[in-house]
Amino acid sequence: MLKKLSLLLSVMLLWSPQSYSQKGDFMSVPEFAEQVFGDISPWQTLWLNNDQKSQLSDALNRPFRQLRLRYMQESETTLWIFDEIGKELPITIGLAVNDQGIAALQILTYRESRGGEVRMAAFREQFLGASLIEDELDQPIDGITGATMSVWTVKRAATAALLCHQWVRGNAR
Amino acid sequence: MSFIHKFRAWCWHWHQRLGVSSALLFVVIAVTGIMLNHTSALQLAKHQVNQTWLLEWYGLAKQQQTSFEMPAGLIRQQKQQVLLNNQFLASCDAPLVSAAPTVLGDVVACRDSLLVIGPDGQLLDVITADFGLPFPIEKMQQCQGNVLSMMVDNKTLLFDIESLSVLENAQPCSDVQYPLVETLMVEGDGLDWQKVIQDLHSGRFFGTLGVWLYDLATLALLFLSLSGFWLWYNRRGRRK
Repeated sequence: MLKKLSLLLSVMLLWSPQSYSQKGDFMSVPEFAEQVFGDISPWQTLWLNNDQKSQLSDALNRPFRQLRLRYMQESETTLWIFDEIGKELPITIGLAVNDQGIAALQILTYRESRGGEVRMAAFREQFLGASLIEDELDQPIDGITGATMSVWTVKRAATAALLCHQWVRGNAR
Repeated sequence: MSFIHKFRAWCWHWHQRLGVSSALLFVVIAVTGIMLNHTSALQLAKHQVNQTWLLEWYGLAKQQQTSFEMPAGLIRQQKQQVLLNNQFLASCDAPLVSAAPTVLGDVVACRDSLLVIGPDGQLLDVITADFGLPFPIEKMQQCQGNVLSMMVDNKTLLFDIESLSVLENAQPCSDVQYPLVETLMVEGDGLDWQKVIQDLHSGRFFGTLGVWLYDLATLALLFLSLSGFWLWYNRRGRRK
């Protein structure tokens, strides 16, 4: 009985969010691009006007200073990389967006010591298909206890990627 | 002589002496207080202290700092911030390495990223390892057009900042870069006038002793207010 109980406890501990490894480089940009497109597309450039910079600043909750952003595109799918601060350090987030909404989301690099649960598939899958209504995600995203700031960061990056996709596709149409 | 008379004489005695001896401190507290009330208008926080004696008083020394002279101005690094003409441009965790012109704009290299700056001093692009940039960069120069020649791990590589690709074919390079300027900068975040005025106002400018001195001055001011009022009231009563 005691053996069974200790085994159960061990399994529970292994599967608990705390045991989920936090820091690390989990996927490179080329690997993410291959996962999304099947190969690596050349980088393209989105030039931003002042209105778009201001919208991105609002979405990312920080002054966005760059005049242009790099992305990959194949047919209607675009791929974006954002390095956004979680609590103290940047989280590198890869996002693929198509005209229906978010098609893929990966945490490529996580640098903070806590909050790495945003890497879990169950969390990331909440974003799939999400699009924007008045510059806000149209799907509710459940938070993760102990990873609140990382969750906010991923939501901000998702909003920014959807905005950028709209601009790219708007220009293409 | 009654107790009241004796107390009045004692009050006069100390009112005059404390008033004279504390006057200088009151002037400092009053002037700095007015300045702190108008901090924003005076832009105290934006003005850095350059006086060597004052910096030495705070234990800050001026040290040699790597900067680059570009057409848009002087580029330098303060902790993790890259500053162009002392204005924040972008964050850069690794040290500043080189600066060079390209057709697209001026490029500033940190060891792990490139910052592309437009002619008006605006940040055009940030190129990191996420976008295929080889690193750690030890040296960077313009080769031709938008192609940079970079020393990475003791190897010379050519990197195109427009296509974000490492070029395989070696091509003749003109090796242009902006001159390195060794400037004397105050270590750390520097010292602004707001901090100095705040410290003068609180007495911390003179260390722990200064705080105690200001406490005594405050007690003296309290005594002066009460004794002044009492002397005035007492004399008014006597006249009646």
